[in-house]
Amino acid sequence: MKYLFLLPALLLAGSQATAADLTVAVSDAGGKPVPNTVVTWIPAAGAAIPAAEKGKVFVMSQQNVQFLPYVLAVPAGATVNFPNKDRVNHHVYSFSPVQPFQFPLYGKGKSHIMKFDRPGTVALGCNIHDSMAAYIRVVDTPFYATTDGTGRVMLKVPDGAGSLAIWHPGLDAPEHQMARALKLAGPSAQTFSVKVRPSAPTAGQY
Amino acid sequence: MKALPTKTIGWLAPAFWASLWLCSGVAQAETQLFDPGTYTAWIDLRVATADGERDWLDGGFGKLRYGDETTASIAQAAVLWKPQFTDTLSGYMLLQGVSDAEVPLGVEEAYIQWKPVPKSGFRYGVRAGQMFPPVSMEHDGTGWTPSRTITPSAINSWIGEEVLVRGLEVNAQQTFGGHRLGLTLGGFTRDDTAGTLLSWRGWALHDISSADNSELMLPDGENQGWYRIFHDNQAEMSRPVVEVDGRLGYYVRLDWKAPAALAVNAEFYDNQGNPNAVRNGQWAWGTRFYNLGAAYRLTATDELLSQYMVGHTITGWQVGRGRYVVDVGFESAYVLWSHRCDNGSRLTGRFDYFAAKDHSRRQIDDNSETGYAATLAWLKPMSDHLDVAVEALHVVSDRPARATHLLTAQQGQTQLQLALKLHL
Repeated sequence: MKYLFLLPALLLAGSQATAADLTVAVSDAGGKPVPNTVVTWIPAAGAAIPAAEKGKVFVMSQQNVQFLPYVLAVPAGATVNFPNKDRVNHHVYSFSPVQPFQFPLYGKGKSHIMKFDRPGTVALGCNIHDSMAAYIRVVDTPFYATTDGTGRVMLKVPDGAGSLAIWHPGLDAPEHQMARALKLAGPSAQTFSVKVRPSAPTAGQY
Repeated sequence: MKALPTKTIGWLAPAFWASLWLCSGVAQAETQLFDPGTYTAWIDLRVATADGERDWLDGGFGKLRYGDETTASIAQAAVLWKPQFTDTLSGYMLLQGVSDAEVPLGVEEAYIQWKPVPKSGFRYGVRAGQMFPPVSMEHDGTGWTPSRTITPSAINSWIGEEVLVRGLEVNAQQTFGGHRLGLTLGGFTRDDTAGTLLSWRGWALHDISSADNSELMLPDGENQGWYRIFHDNQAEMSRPVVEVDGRLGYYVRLDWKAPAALAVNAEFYDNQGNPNAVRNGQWAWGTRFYNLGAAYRLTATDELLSQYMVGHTITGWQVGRGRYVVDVGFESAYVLWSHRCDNGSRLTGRFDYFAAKDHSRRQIDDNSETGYAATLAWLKPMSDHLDVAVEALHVVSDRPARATHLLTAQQGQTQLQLALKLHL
């Protein structure tokens, strides 16, 4: 399952004359892997997002009074499903300038869809359950992936110059993002050692 | 804050509801009143064994729900209804049955809440009705139940028994630069007897929370301080949700969530009770307290919670030097550590300290005490419909008033509980 999100990159790679394996590992200061980090590669020459990539099924479900996944990366122009798999109602909203929206109360088995055209971060909340939080990171490149528990991803990207960026909602950096310019010629392994702010405890808060 | 006459409150209420209704606008979502998603229910079956003295529910000074007994009971059967009137206006009502409570069936929290959808980092909300002021950091389970242990701390056990209020509460929060600041203001009635049980029985640790019609047993016998001072003017059952003096009480709470693993809160509560007022054997108590709370996330699986409360309560008439005939300072603190295991279970340890100091008439009514408790609990959701919990609790306390029950002042007690919670 964790390799599914690499498929588009792999498919795309086939159309390139030369492709490089770009492996990225993200860990914290203590060496622990950092999951839920969105890794993007933007070639200097630019890269259009294929229609097939935008047309994929992206899901931000509500399950056990939590959003799943915590961080969802989608390419600009993609449509996201918001199914409610809980017994209780949810009222999903975002006031992020990138795309403010709300889905007023909806119950079990019901779903909403929303198209995200503008790149940026969409912070999600539920007006019924304050402790629910998640992020949709809208990226402007076909080369992207999100780290899992190992803190690693592998992207198939074209050789050449470009910008490698990582984003995490708690990353202690401007815009929660870090980037480095690279010139790729063949496989490359990049590591990021980052400081991630822990999220505040929700116990007994008001 | 000056007390509003109750008559004023009477006509304010309909006006308030009307304005709420107008503010909430046209419902965009389906109104859900009796939809299956609006209610839940559970039954908490409990097997318990405890040594030591007679528990307070039976008229003793015992600090726990059970004392000198082995028993199986329905600790709580509850139906929780959360109707949605519009997409921002909702209701909450918990009907509970507690087999070992003096009045087994009643309505615990019941309120209406208005929560507009935030359009920026500023958010606000209003609730009105019967509710516990937001003091407890442990009661974040469904239906105001503790989610880490079976038995809440001494502080929050007391909130559950004597600090159920009827009022109006406004909450506002602002996020900036990763910090979140919150302010909560509440005005209330029906909490005039807060302090009765805390003074005459003392601190306790148990998970019975009060309902609108609850009656709580005072230590029994005619040589109790409460009887020697007030005789038949004080009922042997305290009723926690009554209005005696017509004065409004209030609370103020501040919240701060740091851009770190830390969240803290501070609260001041004053029921502005008139200590001279008495009605139907229920005295009004002038009760104030400060509560400080902190939560710290140690790792993704471990958290620390802590609260400290200090307060003062008085009732009756003045006896000189500014003191009242019942005049008690109280203080308690706990530190709780909770660990979430890989298999979904949760292991929690807590240490409680509690104390009260009586400032008047100690020869006939000494309400001083000190005590400690250690609690170890393990909770596991076994399926979508069954949670299992086991808990061991040991409490030691020193209370001179135990002499009125021919007991030595210092008593220790250990209680073991197994809870099977079946829920929808």
